[in-house]
Amino acid sequence: MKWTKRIVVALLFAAMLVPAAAWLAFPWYAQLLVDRALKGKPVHVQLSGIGIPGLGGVGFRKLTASFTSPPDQCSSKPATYRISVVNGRISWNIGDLDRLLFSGSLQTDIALDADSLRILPDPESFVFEDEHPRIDMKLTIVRRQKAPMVIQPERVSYSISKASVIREKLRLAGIDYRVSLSRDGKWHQPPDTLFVSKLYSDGNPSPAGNFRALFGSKRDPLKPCALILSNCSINLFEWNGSAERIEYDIRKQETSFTLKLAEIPLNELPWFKPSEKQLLRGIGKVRGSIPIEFRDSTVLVRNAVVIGEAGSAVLYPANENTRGFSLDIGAKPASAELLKNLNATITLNSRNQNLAGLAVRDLSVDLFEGKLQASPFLFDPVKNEVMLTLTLDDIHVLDRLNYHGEVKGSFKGALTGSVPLAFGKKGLTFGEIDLASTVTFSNIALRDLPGLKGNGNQNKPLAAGTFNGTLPLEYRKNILTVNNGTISGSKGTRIIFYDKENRQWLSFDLSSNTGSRALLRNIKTSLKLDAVGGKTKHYALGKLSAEALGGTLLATPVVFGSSNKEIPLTIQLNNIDALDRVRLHGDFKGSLSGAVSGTLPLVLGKNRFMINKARLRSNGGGTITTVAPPMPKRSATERIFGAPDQDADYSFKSPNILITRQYDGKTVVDFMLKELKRKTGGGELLLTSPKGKLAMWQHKNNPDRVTLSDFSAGFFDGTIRIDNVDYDMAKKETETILLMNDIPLQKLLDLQGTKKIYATGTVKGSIPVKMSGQTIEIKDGAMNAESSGQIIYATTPEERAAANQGLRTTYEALSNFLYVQLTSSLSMAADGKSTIRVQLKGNNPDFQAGRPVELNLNIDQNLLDLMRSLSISSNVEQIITEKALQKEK
Amino acid sequence: MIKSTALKALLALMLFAGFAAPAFAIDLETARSQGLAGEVDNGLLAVPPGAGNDAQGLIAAINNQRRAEYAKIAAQNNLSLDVVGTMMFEKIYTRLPAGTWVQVKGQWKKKAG
Repeated sequence: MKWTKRIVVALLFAAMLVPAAAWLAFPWYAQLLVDRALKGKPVHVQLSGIGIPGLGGVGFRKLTASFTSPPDQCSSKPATYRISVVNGRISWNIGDLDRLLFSGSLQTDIALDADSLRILPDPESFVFEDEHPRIDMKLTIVRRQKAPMVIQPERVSYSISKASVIREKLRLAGIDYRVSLSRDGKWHQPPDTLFVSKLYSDGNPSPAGNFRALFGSKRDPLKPCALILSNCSINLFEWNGSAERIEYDIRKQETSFTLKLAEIPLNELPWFKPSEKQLLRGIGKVRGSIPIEFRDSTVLVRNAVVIGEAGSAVLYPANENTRGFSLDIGAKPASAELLKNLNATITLNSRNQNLAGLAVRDLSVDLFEGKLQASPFLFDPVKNEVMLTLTLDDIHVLDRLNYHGEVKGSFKGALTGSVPLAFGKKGLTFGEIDLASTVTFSNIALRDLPGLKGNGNQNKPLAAGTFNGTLPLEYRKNILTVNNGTISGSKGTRIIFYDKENRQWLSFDLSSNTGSRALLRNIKTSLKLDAVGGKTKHYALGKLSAEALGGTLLATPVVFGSSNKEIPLTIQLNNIDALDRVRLHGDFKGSLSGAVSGTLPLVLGKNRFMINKARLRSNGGGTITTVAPPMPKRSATERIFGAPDQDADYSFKSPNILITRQYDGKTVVDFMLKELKRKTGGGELLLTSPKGKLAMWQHKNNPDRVTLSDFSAGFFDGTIRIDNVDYDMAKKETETILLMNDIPLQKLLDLQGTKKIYATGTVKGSIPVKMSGQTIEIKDGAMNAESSGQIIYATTPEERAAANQGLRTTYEALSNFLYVQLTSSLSMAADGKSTIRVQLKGNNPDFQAGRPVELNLNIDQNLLDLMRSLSISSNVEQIITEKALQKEK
Repeated sequence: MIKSTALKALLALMLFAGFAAPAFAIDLETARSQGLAGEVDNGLLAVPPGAGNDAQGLIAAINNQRRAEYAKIAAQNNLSLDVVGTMMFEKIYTRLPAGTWVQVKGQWKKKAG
């Protein structure tokens, strides 16, 4: 009994212990159960760290499953996927187990939750990672007699959220996709939207993101190996790209599709987004179409196109209130596309190189009627640097570049050359740029240029008209060179000077034909940009030379923008046909001709300039006609017998001037001419080699005062001089003394038009002249013979016979009068009435045995009329004949 | 025509008569033959190039006389002094011995033989 009892107790205990032991031993045989369940299937599951099951589920530390998909028509090699789940828990509904016990079959839901899930294919092409995944499964379990339990999955669903796929250094982050497989659906994944929020390259965000595509596992029976993505869209920067359908050939691992870039306002693109630091501003919209082929990690872009909406432009600088440039990138009737035939080969994530980013080669694009190519370059997002050389071939960028500033006009030109550039943390930097362009410009208004602005008035000339030209430019090693440039002025281009009444009086014609008759030809110069720390410190304009109006022009090098406040500049003129271009207007008319040569040393200060002994000379000359102002009212007698209103021609030859101008405007002109001739209807007055010194704008409070000093000129083989004269141009007032020397007496008599008086000897004189407005006064002028001489008053025997005794005696005395002294005094009133008193001492060897004779001669006449006509209007002979001859002992 | 003939006759007469000259250390013939005086195409005398001023006084005196005579002829014939002087030079020139200095149009040269 005792033993029986013990055995019963033991059996009862054993009966209780076995299930408990089985329960407790689950972690040790669970793997065995799994192995058994998966026997013969291409799935292998390894569990570790399994806990003791609870009523509603069992936890585990790690689950590793590997699944091998056999080779099929789309892949020649089997692919194995290793799935590892960490810290997971499988949960079930405990109530369902009851039904299993009683009915023998049941459908139950189990769920897998875990801390993380990783899928790793072999060969390792990517890693899929998901945090806190949850996979729901519906299973059908059938319990059969004398046979193992059959577990039949009915449905699996897995909502992927914020998962990521890592392929080498590339990471697709924020992946959303709902996996939903069912037995009824023959385990095909129905189409669902795959969303990738961001693409990272080695931890750095790339411009691509928000990728969306509809994707399911069902294949097209005709294209069994094509993975089809439809309704695809992606954001590149802010730009929305879309492709209706992307077919990825799994077997060939390639795809081709066209990415359409939707129309986007330029200012939404990162390079033109309005911000404080932004250099460029974009207006208008662009769209594009990028045909892409993808094969072996390589993206081929084939004949992509970008089109700018008409009126689209890129503005520099971005600030709206600043003058600057705009580049028209809009569609034109002639060229609809901004970028055309854009081709590139982009290798993603190159496996052989330690490169996270892109390798770009064969990049070329048609742009502005030319072609732009780039050297192969790498984009490394870690360094965030790109270095490449752009090669430009005939890119007509200037045709589309407009300058918005004071200088208007149009420019044309194409760029050819190479631009090495680097884009990195320092921004955009350039290497040694080598560019050439022939810039053609037209309709540049002269008055828009610095220093020529504004309307004309008495203080400032007006620059009228426009000019155009061609400048062949080369930019190399920081130096911009101009070679063989041409500038022409359009018809009517001139600089106009105004008088005090704001009337034009002189203009300088700058119009010219183009080509070989251009204003400036063969222009050569260079401009060096000395940049320090990326900022241009100063500009060095090299020697400038040009052919100008038949001559040459040379300018010395100039440095702008440095700390030097004063910039010396010397311009050399050589045989420039400048005088031909001077036109006179208003009260002046005439024509000038001849070439100008000389040196013009300038010192340029801020808004001011200085001329340091500029010497200009010309072998030419010209004639200037002053149109005489209307004569004051005259009596009928005066109108009949007086001199007529007369224009005077002033002609000059070979001017030679030396100009010095100070910053404050004080200007001194030393002048010298070969000759100056005044010609009127009545005669001419010739001054040979006139020279002198003109001082202008010397007095701030009296800018109208001009001072002529050290003036001298040859006059009838003699000399006239003015030591100093101040002329007030406003009041038209002056007072001075006219000095004469060595003037042949005969010439003065000829000037009077006498026919019968002959004289030898020279005179000197001192004539005080006072000018006021149109009137001239002479007071106490004196003219005396410098040595003895001869005076002959020739009469015919008839005249002598007809004369009375006294007069006959005078005639005889003057038939051969040898004077030893000749003095005269001269006065003239403002109305021209003048008195000349002449005193002669000497003898006539043929008269009264040559006894000494003294003669006094008074001549009253209107000298003004005489001077106006420069010929005798009075009658010296008559005076001699009729009244003024007085013979003395 | 008549006037012209009369003028020529007058000029010829003057040449033969010679000019009444004050007493000088040297006479005109000698001065001219020694190269101290030359005839100018205005009918007056001048000092030829390279010559001293030895005949200066003589030249001035003769020129004064000639001018007075020319003026007389000019007045009588309503001509200018220059025209008369030029005509006189033509007459004088024919009578000059070879080697005498003459100035024509500003150029001095010796009369060819």
